Amino acid sequence: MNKCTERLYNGIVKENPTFVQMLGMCPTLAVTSSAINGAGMGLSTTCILILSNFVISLLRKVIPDKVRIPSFIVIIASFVTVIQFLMQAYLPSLNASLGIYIPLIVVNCIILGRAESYASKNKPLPSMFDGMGMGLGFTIGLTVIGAFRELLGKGCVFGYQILGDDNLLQHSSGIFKAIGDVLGLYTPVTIFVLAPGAFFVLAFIIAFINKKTAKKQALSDSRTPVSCKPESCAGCTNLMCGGKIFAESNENKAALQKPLKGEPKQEEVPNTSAEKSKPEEVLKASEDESKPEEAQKVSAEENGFHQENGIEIKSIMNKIARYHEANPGMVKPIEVPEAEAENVKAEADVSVPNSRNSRKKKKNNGKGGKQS
Amino acid sequence: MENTFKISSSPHVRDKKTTAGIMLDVIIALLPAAVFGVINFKTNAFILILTCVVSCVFFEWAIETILKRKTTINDWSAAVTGLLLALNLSPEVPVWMAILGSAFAIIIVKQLFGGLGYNFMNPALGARCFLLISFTGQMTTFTYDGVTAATPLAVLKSGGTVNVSDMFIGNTAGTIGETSVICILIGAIYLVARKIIKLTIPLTYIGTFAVCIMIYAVSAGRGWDISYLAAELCGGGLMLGAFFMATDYVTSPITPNGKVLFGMILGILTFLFRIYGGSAEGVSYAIIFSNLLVPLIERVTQPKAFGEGAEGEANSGNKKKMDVKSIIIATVAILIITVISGVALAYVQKVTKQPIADANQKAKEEAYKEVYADAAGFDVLDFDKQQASEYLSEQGYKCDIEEVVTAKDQSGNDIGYVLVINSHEGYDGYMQLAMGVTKDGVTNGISFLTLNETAGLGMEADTDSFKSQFADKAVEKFEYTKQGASKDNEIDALSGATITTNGVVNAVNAGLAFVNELKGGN
Repeated sequence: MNKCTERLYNGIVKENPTFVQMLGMCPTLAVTSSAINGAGMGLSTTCILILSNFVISLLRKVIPDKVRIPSFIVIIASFVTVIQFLMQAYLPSLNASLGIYIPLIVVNCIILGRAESYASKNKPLPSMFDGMGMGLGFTIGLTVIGAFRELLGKGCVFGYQILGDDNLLQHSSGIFKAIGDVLGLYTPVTIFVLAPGAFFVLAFIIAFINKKTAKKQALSDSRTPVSCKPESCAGCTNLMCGGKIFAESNENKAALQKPLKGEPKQEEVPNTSAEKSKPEEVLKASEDESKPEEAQKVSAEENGFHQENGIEIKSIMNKIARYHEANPGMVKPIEVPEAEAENVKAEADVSVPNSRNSRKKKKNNGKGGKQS
Repeated sequence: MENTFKISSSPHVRDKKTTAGIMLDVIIALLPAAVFGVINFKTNAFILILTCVVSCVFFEWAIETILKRKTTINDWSAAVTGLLLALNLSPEVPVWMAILGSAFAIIIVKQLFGGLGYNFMNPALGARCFLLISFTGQMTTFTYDGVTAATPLAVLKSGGTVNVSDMFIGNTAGTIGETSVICILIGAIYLVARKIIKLTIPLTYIGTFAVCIMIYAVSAGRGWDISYLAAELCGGGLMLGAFFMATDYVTSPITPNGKVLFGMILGILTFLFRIYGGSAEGVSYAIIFSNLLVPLIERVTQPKAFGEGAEGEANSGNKKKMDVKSIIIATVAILIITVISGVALAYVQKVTKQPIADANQKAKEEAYKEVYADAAGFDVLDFDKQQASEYLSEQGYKCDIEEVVTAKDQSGNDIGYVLVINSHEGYDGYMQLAMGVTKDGVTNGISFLTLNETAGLGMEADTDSFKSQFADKAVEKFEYTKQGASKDNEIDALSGATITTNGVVNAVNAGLAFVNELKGGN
């Protein structure tokens, strides 16, 4: 896929700022009392987003890293002010309906977020498309929320009466009028156009989307082996990961405890020779080094697994052992000169990785490590 | 040796009480109030109570089946929610509304957050407030003996007098279960005797509220008015709320100090909502608001384990300092960016200044035209703003005249005035409206230039059906009414937005008074 269209798809669907990234919640909750308000807010944000992403991307090599956030804010605020002036001057009717939302855009975290995470690291053209994609994703999100709230709270969408008294279908004839009369029985539930309604609607839409994506995720999980990028979760932009890490760490745990039985999971691989050779390799490796954990660590890293508790604890234990070797006079809390004992200890901790006991141990060990 | 100790996590000693037993006791305690409600409000009340209980139990069963949870309708908690919800409804509420409220209480407030024990807010009150906000009109229409009547609290708020002994027995308008204080107290005594509730929360709640009311009564010049205090205590949902809903196990603090704090917050909030709020009643909002504060209250009042907090955590404050060179580069860079943006903004401002002024002028003239369709042209009239404000405040209006223009017909004769009025009496504070008045004192129409009221309630002022009530009427002073306008000078109040209505009517009256003064030649 072309990089620009990829950015559009990314912004509108994959990393939709409203429903996936949960960014810009303030305008999402505050201005979506009707579909047209949501669309207006979204489109004005899109404009600003495209312009600010473009300029920030152009200046990305000029702006010093330490003052980049204030610089971005100044640029964004300037664009917002310019747009406001222009709208007041040449589009007064649009300004009348959107004017109050325009200053809000300055503090919209989507704009700063995209500047920080994309525009300041990429070329101008993809940055513009990134801004457009994010802006349109935001617009769609706000319009959908606004439409639901307007429909439930006032019985209309974009100002057209659909439910409740005097709806559009009632003005037609025949079967449509009958349907219209039934729809006319609806009494608008005012709470949906008030602030609490925004929370209800947003919560239900997100719950629905999460359910859909969770199903999709489960489907793709069963087909392809799970893997994340080797970077840590902190730098990961895939916010839909959620259950994936969990499943993965469980698998990892199983692998740590029973490294040999964990392997036959890959039975689906059609090549029979590979099937045979793989367990052997692992077996060999573990025998050679007489440290099954090392092999597990390697295999874990190969699969791109996140660091598991066991490995972390092991490295800390190693550190402590080294520390005690270097300072023989110190009191030794745990006898860990032998690699064997170390493994047993680490494994014991791994088997209950979330228990308070192991966490406490980790913390204490961490302190010991720091002192050295 | 290993079998000597029973190894399990606490609690080790369990009470014999079960959830179902407690809930049944609550239902028994609510029965006097419910029975009185049925006697008081006849069939309507009976149908509503039945509907709420049945639909709450049904929704509990349904949602638990859908979510594949264990069915918990046997613990009676859904029935208690239904009963409480019904007792919190006006007897005039339609049945479908009761069903909608039950669905909201059980599905949204209770089950989506995890079911009994996990709900963050009292389900019955959550549903009541949901309905109250959504259908303000129907939820606040009360009847007594088949006639629409104001609740004692509403009477009290508008300065009337009430009969306290009627309120104590329950012969007043109100929600199904709140009217009879004596029935509620009988139920409360039963609960206390059965050790279902402790009196800490109700007593601190009612006590704090009473103290606040007395302070208010004295400072407002009522003096030590015991009957006023009694009326405030017996009126509305205070008793029902204090004994049955503020004491809900799930949504009240478990720490002893927390309970006291919770009760005090409830009392203060109820006082504020009742006295300074838009509506006469504030118990339900106070309780659900305090429900949300419970986690914080518990955090603040959590008892300390022995020795806890002795070991202070030291902060290692080693901040990295920037070196001089990068500071200078950063400063210069941000300076340049700011200067460039500043220049760009100044340029845009200069270019758009005139078009903006033109657009504003055009918008204003359109607004004038809207309220004075007959006029062919407008002339700005010079007047002393200060003097105008003083005159209006003398007349008792909290408005300012922003602008006055004279409306002219084709041949240039003055035919009337258009005023732009700033009012600070809106629910959100500020509103600006334009009104056209002919020389004969006929109001031509009004339109809003600025209106930031609550969407769905106060914002309804900006609809033609409301604004047209002012149009083409030769009235010196408008009044608003909730009983349906019958006279020329009466305006139908917006349901649920009395403050907005009041603000608009006052602003229009101020405009009319000012025009009168203008015609007088001052």
